[in-house]
Amino acid sequence: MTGKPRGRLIQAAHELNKRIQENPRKSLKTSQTFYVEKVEKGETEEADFALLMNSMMAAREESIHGVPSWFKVVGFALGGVTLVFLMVLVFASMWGHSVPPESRFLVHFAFSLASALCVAALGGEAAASGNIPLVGKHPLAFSATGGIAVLVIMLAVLHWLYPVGP
Amino acid sequence: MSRINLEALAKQHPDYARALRALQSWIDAHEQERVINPMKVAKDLRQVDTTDLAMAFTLLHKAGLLKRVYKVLTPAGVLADGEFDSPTVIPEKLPDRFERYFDTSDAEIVPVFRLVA
Repeated sequence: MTGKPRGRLIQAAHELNKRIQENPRKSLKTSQTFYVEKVEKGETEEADFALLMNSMMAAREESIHGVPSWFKVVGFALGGVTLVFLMVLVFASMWGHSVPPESRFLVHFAFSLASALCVAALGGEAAASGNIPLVGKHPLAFSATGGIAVLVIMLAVLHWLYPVGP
Repeated sequence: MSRINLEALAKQHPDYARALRALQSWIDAHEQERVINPMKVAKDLRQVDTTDLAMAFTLLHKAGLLKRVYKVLTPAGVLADGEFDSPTVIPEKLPDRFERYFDTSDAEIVPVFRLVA
């Protein structure tokens, strides 16, 4: 056990959390005021414990709404599959098995979809880890929007570069 | 070879032995990290109760194995580079990792721990 009874430490954590919930826009000031009050009363351990508990609870709550841990793996896997798919098409065309003009849309769609899913997965993971500015705390929204945008852009660009049909 | 050994502490505090051993495993698995972010630990060690984990950190700090400093969470959800000895000295504006200044008024204070050993 630490110097203070567990109950007092937990009570301090609850008190800080309650104050922050009452005024979330001033959470830093609230935490600072809480800390100063506790230190003045000789309860520095309670103050430190409350700050620690508060950040750990917030992290666990946030991870429930964040991107799943498998996002990065899926992103890389889809990127790899897309690359292999393109390489197969290149080799096939070198050996005289090019894609028939009437099947181009299917190739465009498969390539665009794989690219979009890859971007959605890797983009969502990057946003969740804070590597993309302006995203804030909405990595899933960024992931979905990015994926759809890539799908539309890829289909449009491929259609423009390689029109469907003979 | 582990950088710190929490077994003695776990024996002294059997109520928190599970949390201390889980923390030991986490530290061993993150050998390159000199600064321990409890938010990251809380996410990684979901099987351990948050209160017990916080108690384990407190015990390590009291034993002199960790030094506590304070950081601020940016609006993007990552820790800003600035490091403070007390939460009371955190300024109203801080640069994020892209060197853009953000208002800290609604930001969260995060105590982080430096390994002393």
